[in-house]
Amino acid sequence: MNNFIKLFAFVCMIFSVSMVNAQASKTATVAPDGLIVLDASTDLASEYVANISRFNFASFQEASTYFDKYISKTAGRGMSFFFDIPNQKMIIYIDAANQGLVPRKASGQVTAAELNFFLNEVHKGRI
Amino acid sequence: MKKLAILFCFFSAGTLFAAGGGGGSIFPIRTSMNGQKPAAYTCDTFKSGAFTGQTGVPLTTGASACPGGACTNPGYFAPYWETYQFKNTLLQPQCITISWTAQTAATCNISFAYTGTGPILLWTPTAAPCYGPPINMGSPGAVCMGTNVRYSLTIPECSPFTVFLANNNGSRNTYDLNIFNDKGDPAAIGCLGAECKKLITIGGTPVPTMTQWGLFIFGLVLLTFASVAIYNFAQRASVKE
Repeated sequence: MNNFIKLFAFVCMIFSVSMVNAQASKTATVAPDGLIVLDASTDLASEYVANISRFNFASFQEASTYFDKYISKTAGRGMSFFFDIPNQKMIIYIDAANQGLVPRKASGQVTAAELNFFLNEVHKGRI
Repeated sequence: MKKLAILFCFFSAGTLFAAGGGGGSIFPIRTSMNGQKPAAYTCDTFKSGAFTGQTGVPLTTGASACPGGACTNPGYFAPYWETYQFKNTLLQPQCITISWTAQTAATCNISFAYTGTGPILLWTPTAAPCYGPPINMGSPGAVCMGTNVRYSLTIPECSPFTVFLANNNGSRNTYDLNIFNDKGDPAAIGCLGAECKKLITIGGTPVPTMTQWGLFIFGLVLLTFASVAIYNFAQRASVKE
């Protein structure tokens, strides 16, 4: 009986971890012209995954060069980019508590829509 | 004596060209956001300070273009701020672009500008003041400035305006401020007491009028030529005698 409880607890733990991971990662899209848009339909997540297969990058270097304007403008400011070339994915990590991309408001948390505005300004070359 | 007169003429002409018809640019203005008036900002209207508590400043909804941006006011923090006041020295409205550049991106600094020299409107939980007509407001929108940001707004003829720079969170930065006109050239602006000028347009090309300094130096050159002519005339007269 004791072993059964332990096994049940272990299964629950694995299940909850996988649920947390599933919730933490949200979708981002990359337009044909390279504009990155985070899913703004729900609260800001710490991780977004975007499909970059349309660009058919052959190497990490190629992908990071293409997205360099975002990488250079966000370096050390709470947003970081990683590339999974075999799976043609881009993973965007966001440190909402320490981000320096959009200004802090006197009330309220940073939202995905606000970060999308920043990404759009970077894309247009205005920042 | 003749050589001396010629040398003086060259010197006068050189001075005229160097003066550029009325004074050089004060830009770029480099600020370290440390409360000290930047050396290049020769006007006496530099202000700096700190806001504490739940106060904040407005920004525009998006990146502003001329005539100005729509204001939004969730109340952005500005624990350190500084302002610069200038004047459109043209006798016509001027679309200006305010450009901030830095070598490295700090965490979050913000900027906006508005026509006039009124006080900075502050957000409060019960009221959300915004700059509205007839005041034009400009900002890059709700973004931290990074290393390079620019926005535009229209300044009415011969009117003052205020440029605001603040630290929102994290470290402050060192920025260079430039202000351009809609052609990308340095804008015709000066300190609040500056004289306003009229642009005369001939065939679509703006021709600036001569300023007081330009007139003075031009007069000096004419006087030099006159002196040389009189001297030559006197020399010739004495030779004939």
